[in-house]
Amino acid sequence: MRDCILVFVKFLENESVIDEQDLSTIEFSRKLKELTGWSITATSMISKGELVDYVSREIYSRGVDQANIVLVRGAKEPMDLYLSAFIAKDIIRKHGCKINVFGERSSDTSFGGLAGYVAGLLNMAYLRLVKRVISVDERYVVATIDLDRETIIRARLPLILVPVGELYPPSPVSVRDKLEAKKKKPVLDEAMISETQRMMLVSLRKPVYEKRIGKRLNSVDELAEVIARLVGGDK
Amino acid sequence: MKALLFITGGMIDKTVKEVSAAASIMSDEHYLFLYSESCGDKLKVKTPLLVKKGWCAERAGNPRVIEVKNTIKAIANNMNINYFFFDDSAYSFWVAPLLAGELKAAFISDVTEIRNEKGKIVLSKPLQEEKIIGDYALLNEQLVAIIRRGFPIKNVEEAVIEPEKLSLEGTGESTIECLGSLGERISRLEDAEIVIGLGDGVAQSGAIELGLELARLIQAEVAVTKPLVEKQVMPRERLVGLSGRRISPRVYLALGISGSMYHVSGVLSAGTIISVNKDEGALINTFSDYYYVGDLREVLPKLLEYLKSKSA
Repeated sequence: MRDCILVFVKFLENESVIDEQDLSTIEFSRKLKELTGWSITATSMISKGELVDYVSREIYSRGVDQANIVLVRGAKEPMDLYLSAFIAKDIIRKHGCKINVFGERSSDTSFGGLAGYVAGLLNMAYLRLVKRVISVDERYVVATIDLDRETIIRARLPLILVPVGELYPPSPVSVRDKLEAKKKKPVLDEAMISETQRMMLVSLRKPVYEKRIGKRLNSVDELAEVIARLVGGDK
Repeated sequence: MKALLFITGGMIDKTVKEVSAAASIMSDEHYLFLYSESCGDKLKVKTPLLVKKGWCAERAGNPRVIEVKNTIKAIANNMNINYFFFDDSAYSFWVAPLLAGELKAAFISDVTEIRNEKGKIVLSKPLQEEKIIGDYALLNEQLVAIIRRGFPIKNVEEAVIEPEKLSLEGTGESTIECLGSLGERISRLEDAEIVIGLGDGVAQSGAIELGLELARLIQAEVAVTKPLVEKQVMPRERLVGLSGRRISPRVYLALGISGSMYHVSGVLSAGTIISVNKDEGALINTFSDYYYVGDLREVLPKLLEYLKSKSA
């Protein structure tokens, strides 16, 4: 395994932007680079070849060392989580980085499970809800996580981790950053879908949320009475 | 087909009913694995009759993700179980995908509906920050699913079971190890009967301390929206919404919350929702049973005064 950080970045092809959560994931990776001195490779799986240069510029402008764009052939959009996980697994193996960073609900279209699924496939250590990485040595990462309470965890390298995105707001990008980014070339790879999907998206529809009566209260006294009554256990 | 139900956190009876209702579309034989702080007592759980047997492992202070996952696998191997239904908890979002990856099973989270369409199982979940619902056909023999809190419960016959105590499966050399916790458990949001939600409106009106005082007065747990976590006013542990926790308290009091679906999706199954917001047109009002329009900086002192005088 190599001393490097691999960060998975979801590029929203229809909107031509990096998923907002993954901007935080990149920011987290930059903090990790400050701690370790390891280089950052940001990898993005896309299906439209014409977007390669644009995606590359967007990624490089965020201050990573290398952009790796994986053109996925033969995929139906949106990809099954299982298929995404298989490609991600191969990308992790190819780069061989000791630390692999995912967003919580970005790369897998809101499933919140891609990172864990890949960790399960690779039998790799998996940390989520990571607030801060305290130290990294040859064999271990020590980090604080936010599960029930703030807890210090030691995880064996290599590992997959998911940071608390809200704690890492993205840095602004200048025009100069964009221009510099344009000069850099991405490492381009291709991935073929060879596995059978486990689930198939069959339809999309608008949700129907049950709205409530919404009785307007006309005074603070009335509000206080309602709160006192309900907190006391009355209907 | 057999299904394993994994439940952690509080409100066990209600959660078992929700997860069992989801599993019942695909399976008529359920096994229950509780990972609970209540295991130390002589725990009795009211379950639908479909639940044939239960186990309970003590949930102690430190996260034991790998051990929980291994225990689930061991139960599944012994009982020949192919379907796994997890409750809507932070533990589940850690353990379930890890298990699914190991099994190469189908995985889906936030399931709000399951139906059998002419022998084909279709599971539905919200996508794109709750803006659309995706319907997914299951194409695999093994399934790991996380069931969204508030899944519709069926009226079915119930029985009381006493889950058998269970020790978590060891791991040999574990890939992760807990070195200690910084302080006590900071919230019991999922178990709370009364929850006060603080939104950006509270921060903007400088009324956070007043909101916290109200929570102490009515013995409510405190939840927050995403902006307050981003501003590091409150820890992520208290975040309620799409990437935080889903809660179903008896009463939810939303203070200064506009009502984005990101947050609202986390409180839809609350018993009664009361909102206080200075914006008459705030979306949260349409999801509330009661709402009051006013500036929290003015409303909260009066509210505290009234409630203090009443309790005195």
